Amino acid sequence: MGKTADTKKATKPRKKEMLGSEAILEALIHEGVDTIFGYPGGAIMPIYDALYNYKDKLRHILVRHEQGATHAAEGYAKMKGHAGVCFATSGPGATNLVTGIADAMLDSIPMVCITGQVADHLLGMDAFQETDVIGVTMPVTKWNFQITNAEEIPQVIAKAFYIANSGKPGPVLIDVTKNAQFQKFKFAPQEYKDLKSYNPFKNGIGTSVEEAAKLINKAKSPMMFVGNGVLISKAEKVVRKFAEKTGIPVASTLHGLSVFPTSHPLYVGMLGMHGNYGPNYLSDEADLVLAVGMRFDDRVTGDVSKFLPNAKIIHVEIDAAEVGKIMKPTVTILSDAKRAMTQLLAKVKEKKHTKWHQKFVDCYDKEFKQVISKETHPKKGEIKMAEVIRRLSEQTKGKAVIVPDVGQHQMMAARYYKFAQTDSFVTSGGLGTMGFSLPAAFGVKTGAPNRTVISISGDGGFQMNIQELGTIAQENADVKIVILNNSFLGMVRQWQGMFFEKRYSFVNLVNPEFTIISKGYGIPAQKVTERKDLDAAIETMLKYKGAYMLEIMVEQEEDVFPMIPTGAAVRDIRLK
Amino acid sequence: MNKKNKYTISAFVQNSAGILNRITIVFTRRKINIESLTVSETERKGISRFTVVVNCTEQMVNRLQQQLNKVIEVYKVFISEDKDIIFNEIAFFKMQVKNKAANEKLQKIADSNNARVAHASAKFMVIEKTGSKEDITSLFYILEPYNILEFIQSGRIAILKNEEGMSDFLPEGVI
Ligand SMILES: Cc1ncc(C[n+]2csc(CCOP(=O)(O)OP(=O)(O)O)c2C)c(N)n1
Repeated sequence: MGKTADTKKATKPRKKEMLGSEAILEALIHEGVDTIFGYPGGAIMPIYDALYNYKDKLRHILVRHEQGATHAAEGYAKMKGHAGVCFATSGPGATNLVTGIADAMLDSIPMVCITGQVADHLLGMDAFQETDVIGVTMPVTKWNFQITNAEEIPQVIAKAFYIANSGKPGPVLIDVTKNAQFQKFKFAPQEYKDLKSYNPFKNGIGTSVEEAAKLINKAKSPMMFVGNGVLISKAEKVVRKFAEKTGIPVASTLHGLSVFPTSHPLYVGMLGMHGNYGPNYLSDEADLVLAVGMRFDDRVTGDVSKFLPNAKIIHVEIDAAEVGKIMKPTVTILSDAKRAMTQLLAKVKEKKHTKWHQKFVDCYDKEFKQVISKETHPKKGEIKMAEVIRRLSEQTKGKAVIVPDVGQHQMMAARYYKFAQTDSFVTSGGLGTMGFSLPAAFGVKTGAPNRTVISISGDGGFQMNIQELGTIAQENADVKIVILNNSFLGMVRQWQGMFFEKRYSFVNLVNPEFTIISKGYGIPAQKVTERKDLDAAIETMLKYKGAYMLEIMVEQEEDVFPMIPTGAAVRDIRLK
Repeated sequence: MNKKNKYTISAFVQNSAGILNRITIVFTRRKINIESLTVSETERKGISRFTVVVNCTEQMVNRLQQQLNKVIEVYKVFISEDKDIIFNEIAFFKMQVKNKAANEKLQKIADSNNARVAHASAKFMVIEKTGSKEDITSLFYILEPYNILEFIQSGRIAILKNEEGMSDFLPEGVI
């Protein structure tokens, strides 16, 4: 053998004989994975057996329910910026993942789920714990694949991570039959560079940046909408520079929260159903909207036919399927937000839109007088959700990661926490999954151990994944847990109040003593019923080293305002 | 804007397990009824071609194209109206043959309708017709009085009326 052949051999990783189960773990490590959220069972036992020898390289966290694993992986992925990993067994283990996978799909969160499956000769035989997981998850994954032969492992795992992390991120599921886990073969990790049928980096910027810059430079009343894509591509800084240079007022979607510090002079608030008055109402007058990494969700647009009647739209979007799906843009920049905004920044003129901006300030004043001040600084009566958020915000100086569940408290958290730092709001926006908060907050803490992480739930949603208190306790995770207890499925009650003649149909809850449950798990807890105790209780919770629960009894029939009723135009946003 | 039209979708895909499911869920999720579906391997190994005929609005067909493009295994999707493509379907009519006269009569009908007799025996005959859906339907009505034992019609196959070939939109070495 010649010299060249030798060097060639050296650069190629040497193949090592091992079991399929070990190869899965090796391939994960090769992808940079160090944390796994999972739950064992029959069909994935070979992988769990292999895991026993990998304890020093892979941290496996035993959750209490597979749904918990998915939300934890989502929270983790949000902090890390790359895929979170879940393990589950076949059948019920795998079907328990479905809600979290669907959640990750709608919110563009990278995730790789690995499920065990019965041996290949049992496929389709209605064997014990056999479910067609590929069929079940096909509509809710970005990609899925069933491995029946260990030889497929290196390539498929590499491809799974490549797809999950690139372009518009999303969940991928790999189902591995038991025989493949037991199969001995020669393994070497693989890289995935290219997938010809999937090319997220070949985006079309072309001349669109010049055209966009022209529109921006001559706009009289422009607005910028920032969404999830800004955070995903880590474009916060360039977006901020862009806004400061062009003087364009910036509104955020629910997922775009914390891209801009709430206190930034150019930041005018949140869009959508329970967003701020100004950005919703004034979007009618905008002559140009620069939409960056957002997808015109129906909770943002209200009645689409009446949305942005006077605006040209520049859509910065990485996913070609989003272009023109809801709103027809004048200019499309098909790219990730960071690349597009960096190019755009160089081509726009410095400007100020003082008069236009003043309109937002006036709207805010109106909203403040009619809604915000009463909500955040009530003098008497029961505790309000908004004031809890306001106090949390003050005591954490806006630097915590807020992980709300779904419902009224979620909207209150979005509206009243004053974000001072980026990547500080992790929420289930697309699917609106109750039960998201507790496991997701645990995942966030696992991915960002140095940050203060606050889970905020309603008394309804908290009971949807309450079992994850066990995971938090076992892992000694310092997650702050706040329950805003109104003894109602508050958001549904509000709708019944507003649109169903106050017929409160199955929305009141008789709840357990949450603090006792928490203490049962070894997590200290405190219940607050009076305003005078609130600040001290929050301080105790924040100072405590470790998980801590605060159950706060809040006004039972508080409504979230402003509100754009479903199907109404955004300009018809109601302040009461 | 809301006018429905007939569209032919030609999708070039990586031939892999589950691909039929991946393609059809794009339609079922949007409650689009598939009028016809044909799948076949292309001149290049490993790449299959889906020809799907749908009746929907222009907006919907564009959305279907965008969503099909998102399927990882899909390389390329074309949307065509009938004027942009050469297309055809094929049908078999299994006819009862009672006697010689009937035999001759059916043979004649086949000849005058540009169809051919693909199989003939004492008791039955199979007439094969290639043509548009309309051609096939009109032959169906002609044959109906003569007792059709069985009838089957394929989905549409279509090819674009331009000089481009696969190597233009899917350069060699793609897979
Ligand atoms: C899994 C799931 N089931 C049902 C719903 C519908 N839903 C949305 S908000 C809500 C009420 C939530 O009540 P709670 O958790 O007490 O929070 P609150 O609105 O009172 O703050 C319900 C039932 C949902 N979003 N998710």
